Amino acid sequence: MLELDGLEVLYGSVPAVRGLTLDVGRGELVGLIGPNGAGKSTTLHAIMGVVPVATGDVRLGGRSIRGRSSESIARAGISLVPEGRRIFGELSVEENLRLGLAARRTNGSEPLAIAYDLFPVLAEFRGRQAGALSGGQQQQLAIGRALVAAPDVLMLDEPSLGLAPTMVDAVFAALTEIRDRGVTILLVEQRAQRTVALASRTYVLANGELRMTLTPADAGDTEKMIQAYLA
Amino acid sequence: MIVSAVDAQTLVDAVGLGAVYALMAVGIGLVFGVLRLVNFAYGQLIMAGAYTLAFTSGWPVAGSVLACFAVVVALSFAMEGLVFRPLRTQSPAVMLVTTFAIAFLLQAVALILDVRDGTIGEPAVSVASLNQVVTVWGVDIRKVTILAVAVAIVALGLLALLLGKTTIGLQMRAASTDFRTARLLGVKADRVIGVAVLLSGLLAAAVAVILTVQLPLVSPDFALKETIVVLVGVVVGGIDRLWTATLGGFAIGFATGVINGALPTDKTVFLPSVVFALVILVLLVRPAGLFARGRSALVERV
Repeated sequence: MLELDGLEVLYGSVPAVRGLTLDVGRGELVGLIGPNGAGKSTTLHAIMGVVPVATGDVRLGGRSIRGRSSESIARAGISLVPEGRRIFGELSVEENLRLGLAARRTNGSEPLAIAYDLFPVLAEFRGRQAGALSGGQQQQLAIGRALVAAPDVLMLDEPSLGLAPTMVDAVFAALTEIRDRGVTILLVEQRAQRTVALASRTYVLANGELRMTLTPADAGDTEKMIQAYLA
Repeated sequence: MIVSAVDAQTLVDAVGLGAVYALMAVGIGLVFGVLRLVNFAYGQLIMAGAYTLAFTSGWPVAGSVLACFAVVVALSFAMEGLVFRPLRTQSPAVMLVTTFAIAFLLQAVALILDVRDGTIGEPAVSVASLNQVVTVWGVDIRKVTILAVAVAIVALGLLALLLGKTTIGLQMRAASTDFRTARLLGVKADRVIGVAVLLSGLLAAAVAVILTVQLPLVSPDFALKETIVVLVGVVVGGIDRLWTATLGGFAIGFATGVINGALPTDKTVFLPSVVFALVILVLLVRPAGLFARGRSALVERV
């Protein structure tokens, strides 16, 4: 569904992502982990067209999306839940969700239902200012806003960052349910163990390069997890 | 200095002036919201509209006004497409200075077109009928004052509906808070900017008609002084939000009108000094803007 082929991203003359090749199959939940500065967020930004791709290609459903604007990539079927949530605090919860419809390609009735269904708190607070929600609720709003676009691929940039432990559980539970509904997911996370356990395959990135690929079986292997980060 | 009493006449004229300045403030604020660009050349859009009215003086009023709207909107889009778009990623300072250049360029073009008949200044007579006076309870109200207030109320009402109730309005509000995230959600940048430029141009054309009725002799510096005053008003009100910017525009127009009426006729030369002294005072007390709430840097701008 989503393929990176020898992706290179430069910040000035410094390579941030080097020759990254990976793929996310239809309906799969794939993880992307690695230490700070490994190039995880940069990879997502390159996929979304926020930063330019120096060499290599990004393909969605076999078609290259390299060089397109972020709005066009969103409309092609990739939704990003950005780091730090980036909700519109002065708009209402419902208005935030309606903004997500900009990238929606189909006309269904009740397009916001998926968000309200997954996160009932959003339905309850739909008229409330989004900025008044708690951090966890805002994260649910950011995920809901991405989902109402009915994307082919949902990408999340550290959705558990800065959340209380119970909210982290809620986010991971929601991810499981979203995957079970057939949505293809690329998950960037710092919580390595939980990500490896959840994802069908987790890529470990370090210094912009693919270091290894882990499977759920590796989640219990502390040695291997430590090695993944420190080797 | 003897200050005469502020009478009903003065208040009516002040409201009229405030309405015109509010319309200009909205036009400037809309484009600022989505482009982060203070368009100093906004006054030259109005000037172009005024010249169009002057050059089409022989036409029926409706045709002349229509031509004015067409020219101003076209020029507004040309400015965006030819200048603002290539500079979108530049710093606000670069863009501001560029709009100064556009302003002077357009004034020079206007001058070249104007002096073809050997004189500077073109009379615009087609819309002059609006300058007639109606007397209500002993207060003389020019028809154009009623027009200005009506246009301001209708335009602001429609704009509030557009921003509050429509999808494109929602997208404009989002884009003016965080353009990058809006684009990540699939909001089309060109569409949002295009609508802002269109609305801004329509407002400039409406202001051109109103100002031309009041000042029928059109010259290259037409609306220049007004633009400077409105820009000050927008900053005084709070440029970060459309509504505070609009109120700022109205406030400085209204204040100018009232002070003008309160000053004795032989002291009106001090009008700008009094107005700007007031502005300095307001900015010293409320640097974020007269109507701004608390932390203005993070709030929604439209």
